[in-house]
Amino acid sequence: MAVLGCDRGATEGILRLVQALVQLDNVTLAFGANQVLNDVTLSISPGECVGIQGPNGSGKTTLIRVIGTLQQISSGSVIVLPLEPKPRLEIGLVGHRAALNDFLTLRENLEFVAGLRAIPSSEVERTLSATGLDPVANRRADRASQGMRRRTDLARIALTSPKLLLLDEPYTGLDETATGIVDQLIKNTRERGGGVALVSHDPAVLTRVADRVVSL
Amino acid sequence: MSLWKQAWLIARTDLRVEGRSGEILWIVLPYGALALFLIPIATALPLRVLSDIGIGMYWVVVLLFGMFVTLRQSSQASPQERDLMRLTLGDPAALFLGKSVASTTLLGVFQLVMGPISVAFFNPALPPQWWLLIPVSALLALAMAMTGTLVGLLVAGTRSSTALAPLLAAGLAFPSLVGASIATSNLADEKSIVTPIALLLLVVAVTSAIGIASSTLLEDQ
Repeated sequence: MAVLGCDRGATEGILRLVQALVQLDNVTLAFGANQVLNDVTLSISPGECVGIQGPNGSGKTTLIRVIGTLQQISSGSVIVLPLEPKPRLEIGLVGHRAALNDFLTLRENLEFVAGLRAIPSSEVERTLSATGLDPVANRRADRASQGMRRRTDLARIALTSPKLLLLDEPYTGLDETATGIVDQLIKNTRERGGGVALVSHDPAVLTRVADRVVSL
Repeated sequence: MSLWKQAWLIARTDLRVEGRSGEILWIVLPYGALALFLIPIATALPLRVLSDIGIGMYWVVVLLFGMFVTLRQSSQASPQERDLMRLTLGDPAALFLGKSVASTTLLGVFQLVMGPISVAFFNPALPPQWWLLIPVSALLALAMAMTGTLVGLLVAGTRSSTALAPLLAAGLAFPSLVGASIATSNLADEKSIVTPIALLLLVVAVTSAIGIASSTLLEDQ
């Protein structure tokens, strides 16, 4: 492809930026004297699942938050979903702890997100059923097991179908059914042309799920 | 989804959460009532003096305990919930507006309960046009709710938020207290309350403008 008025290097750079869902260049982040991320460069293309591994304290979770536009950086550049008018609305994050309001039931937690996104309540019911949450959907979040809480977090992702899926140790503490839900979410996101960033300390998981692995 | 629809959903959810946590019903309301009960006993003032200071004491209790209403624990989101809201809301101002609406409603209820208790303990000398205190109370609730919500969002996630928030909120709500107090005094003297009403409206306008304008900024903290 030729673009008039641009040299080849610049053209390739622009195409790379437009095509990539995520482009991090020379990202550095420090909390005071504590250097958390040092010159990290990373890209995620449509349909790609990138694994992130590293020892404890290497900045894996921080990197996920940087990709999710939830953490400001000290230097470098972060471009996330450049073609989206509101990129944040296309990002789905599953962290170590479920993002649930303890005083709401599991169903109400999903209904709240669905309401904010104008997703019909029939979709909530369908998602509850698909994720096997039906029998416990009316249980308050603070009275639900950790597994069910995490499953509700995954159900929220299934409900909103984000273009960029950020998973921080998503398989920890999950049973076989919930593991299948995570696999399905990753598969669906990739099939839609979305991207996935997956943090795991388990090399077997990364080998099985990710296209390539970045080490911190 | 529109900004106001999102704000309304946030407000309804906040009120539902408060209804289940019972923080205001079982903690703030009884303590507020206890404060009104203890003031006459602790000061041992003559009934006539208590009657004179009754409405003022009511405003002070509303201001101080109202801060606990606006900064209630049940409305404080966990870091995970804050992240979720940042990734879910189309317009960050919806959070400020929604929480302000919920707090205004709860403050209205708080004032409604404290009113008769004040009358019972202080037998205050109500001005002839006492009903004009209703819009003053409503504006005070709105001003305090917006101030408290703004402070709550400002200090969210900071280390000293528990200690800092009530201090900041009470300080920022001071002009609202002055407005309510002047309105009461003017009504007692049968003067116009346009100026204190204007002061309360100004607080509401300034706080809402800052809250809406800074929502995006606060979201990126």
